[in-house]
Amino acid sequence: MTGATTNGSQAIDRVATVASPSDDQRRGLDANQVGGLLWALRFQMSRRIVRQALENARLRTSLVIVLSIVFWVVMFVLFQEGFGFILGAINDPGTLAQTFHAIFNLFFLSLFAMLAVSSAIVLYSTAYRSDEVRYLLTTPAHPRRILLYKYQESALFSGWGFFLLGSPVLMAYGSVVHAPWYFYAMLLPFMLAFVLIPSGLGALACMVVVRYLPTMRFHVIGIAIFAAVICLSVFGWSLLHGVSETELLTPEWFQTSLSGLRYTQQQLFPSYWLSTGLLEAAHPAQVDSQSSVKMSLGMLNVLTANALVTYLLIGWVAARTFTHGYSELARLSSSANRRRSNRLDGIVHRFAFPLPKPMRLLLIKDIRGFLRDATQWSQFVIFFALLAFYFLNVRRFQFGSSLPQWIVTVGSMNVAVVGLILATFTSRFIFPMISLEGRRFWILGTLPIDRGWVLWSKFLFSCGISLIPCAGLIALSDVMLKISAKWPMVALVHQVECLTLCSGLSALAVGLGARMPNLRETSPSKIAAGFGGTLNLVLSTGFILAVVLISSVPIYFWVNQQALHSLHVGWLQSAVDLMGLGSSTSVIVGALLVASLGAITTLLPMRAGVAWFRQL
Amino acid sequence: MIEVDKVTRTYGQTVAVNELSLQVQAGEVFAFLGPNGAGKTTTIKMTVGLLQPSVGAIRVRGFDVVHESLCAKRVLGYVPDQPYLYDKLTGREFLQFVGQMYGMPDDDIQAAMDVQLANFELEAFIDQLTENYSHGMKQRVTFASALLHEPSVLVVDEPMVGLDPRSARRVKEVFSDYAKAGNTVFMSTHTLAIAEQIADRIGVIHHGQMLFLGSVDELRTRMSRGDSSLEDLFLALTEEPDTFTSDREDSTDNRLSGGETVLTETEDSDTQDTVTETPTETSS
Repeated sequence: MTGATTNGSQAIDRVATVASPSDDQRRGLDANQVGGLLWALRFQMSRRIVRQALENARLRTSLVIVLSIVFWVVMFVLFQEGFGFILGAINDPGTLAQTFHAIFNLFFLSLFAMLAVSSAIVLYSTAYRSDEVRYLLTTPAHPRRILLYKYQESALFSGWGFFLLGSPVLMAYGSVVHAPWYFYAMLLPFMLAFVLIPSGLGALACMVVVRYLPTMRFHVIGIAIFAAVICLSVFGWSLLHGVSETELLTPEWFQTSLSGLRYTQQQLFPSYWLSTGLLEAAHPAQVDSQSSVKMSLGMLNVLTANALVTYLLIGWVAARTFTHGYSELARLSSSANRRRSNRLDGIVHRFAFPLPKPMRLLLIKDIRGFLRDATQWSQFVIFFALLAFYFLNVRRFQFGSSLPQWIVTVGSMNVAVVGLILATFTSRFIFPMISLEGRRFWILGTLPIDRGWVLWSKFLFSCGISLIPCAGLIALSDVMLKISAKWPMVALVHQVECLTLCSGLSALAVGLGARMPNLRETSPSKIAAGFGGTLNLVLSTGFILAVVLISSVPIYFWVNQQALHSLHVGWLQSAVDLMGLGSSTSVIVGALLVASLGAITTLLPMRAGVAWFRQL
Repeated sequence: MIEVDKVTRTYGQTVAVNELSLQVQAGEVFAFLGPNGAGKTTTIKMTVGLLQPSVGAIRVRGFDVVHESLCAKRVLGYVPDQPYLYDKLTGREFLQFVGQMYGMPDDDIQAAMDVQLANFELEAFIDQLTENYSHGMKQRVTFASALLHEPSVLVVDEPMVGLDPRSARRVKEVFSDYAKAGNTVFMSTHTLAIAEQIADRIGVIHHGQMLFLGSVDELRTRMSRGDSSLEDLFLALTEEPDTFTSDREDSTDNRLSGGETVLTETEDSDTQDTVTETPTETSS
């Protein structure tokens, strides 16, 4: 290392001594100056982006702000209620403290894992795959500084979710236990120091994998996701396995669960430092406040010190691996051969044989793009794997067979959750497809095929890849909630809803994507974040709510006829009578209405999109 | 100024650049020619430090681009084939940022910007956000940014793509003036007319190996085609081996004899000619 530094210094001296008019200025900036310059650049661009958003995208900006506030308030109220319930239900102070410790440790340990993974993925795309880094690497900025700059970005990207999720939880806790003012003052430094550690570990893992296991990078991500899902499943299973419905939520079950959570409270975990520090700070002033504050500050010190060490470590590893890893990755990316797709061709041609051949070819093209874009399929897999994990454990929360209305309500909410996840997928990946295709319009536009086929093939692609996992997840939810066994008709209606959602959401994304294309933008995420993408997300959410409400209200009254008698308002009773709620016919009518709504939501946007696309 | 010393670069099983050696001197405009996939861009990316050679070394003004990369980059200016500009900056802000990255004082940045704005006629749009620029406008701002810190070596990948005729003419003039001032211009291009007009020397690379290194006139002499255009010479030189052997049975002995580059027939191949380069000293 010393030798390298000496060589570097000699080289810099050589630059300064070579005769040239401007050589006296070529000692260049030191690493800190470059860092400052990059910060200034980021600040300048962020300010401009915010200004543009306020001037040109008021709807989107307002929507994002309002939805974030709504999300924050809902989280705050929910957790306030939850913490209040725990506070009222547990009288023993020792058990109460133990319970909050367990909840906080589990919560922050889970977020720790998620932050590490997301930070690694974000850093991979921003540091190893971005045009900006390709440019910066040709400037006299040290690669270590470039990597740190991109690490800060990835920490920010992956950390904002942590702040959005963590702050209402902690504020709710503070309000319930009447925490002193310094608890609130310490929230930000605690969260900031904490977030830097998992994102730093993710960044280190990313650099090491790219440098030493470049050919295995996707396998490593796959294994990490698989391991996380397995861990979650084992954890869920260990909490609930062998517990009968009558034993659930009893004091004994509670104690056993608390013991089971002890391994999340290891003193070497940053989540432990964060939880302990904040819980100590939240102690009411009358309870030995001095030692609590000392303990809290001590934990903040530990967190901060570790965050700074992680930062230094990132710089150290970056200086030794970044340039070589970057160069090596370019070698692998360029050399990848793709010859295994012939099997895919055969499958699509066999199963989609009623479609015209050009449409099948377009389908194959889109499926190839999907499979080769790790961003798309990895998000798809992560979301649906997490949902599968939740559904696998959902049967334990059916609250007994005496409350069937709860079971069908949870079932309907699960359908809505699947729909919302699908809506984010279609908005993020399907909506921008036409805009991106527009940039290559000279290919499709000059082919001797009906342009409508292009859109219909995209619709089929979106429907095809979403229908199987969505239908499977909803079926899993119904089996776990015993809906399939008790009310097969409800399970069938859920499948009709699923088909409707897949078809309608796909058509909305494709149709609006064609009707409101952004042909200048090359980044799909920016296209999705534009006005059209936001409108698509809003309309999709409305469509999901309509589908779920239309079908779940008749189901609710069918399985819970007593609810009909509790309606005392005259006009409400008349409306219920008019719709025939409470009968199985009303459930079928609801399903038919949903199917009709799906057909309209499929045909109208597609017609508008095709008409527009033909005129392009 | 630029020394490429027995550099090899592989992409998996593919050898993109194979034991390439070349020197480009101060005051020289050098044009790097070759068919698609010949190894031009890989060589350029290695020269500016974006890729590292698998074997061999590249030095820019004596600085090894791998081990003394920062020093090498300080004396380099690079114009890529796909220009990158920050969307949310104006052209002026981008140029200021680049000047600051190279450690230039503010006054010098301003003076250098004035020169480059005039050089590439940027005044009309320099204060607009770069996200609104056409490809040609981006290319011109990139040229300005690459020359802002007065590098002694300018590396350019496909300089004329997207430029209108007026800008293309201006770029050619800048290259010539720049080299006359004692600097080096190293460009890769498919536009053979440009190479013929302004390059002091050309290098023709094919399948990662240097086929020819010298002036256009030398190429004509060595190929015994006194009145041929560079286009004809280039096409003849880079003909694929099987076509080449069937068309010109007599050529395997020595297509380019007596110079830096010779053509030899390998013993282990019946049908393929292999072009190997002999070490030469390039005069300064």
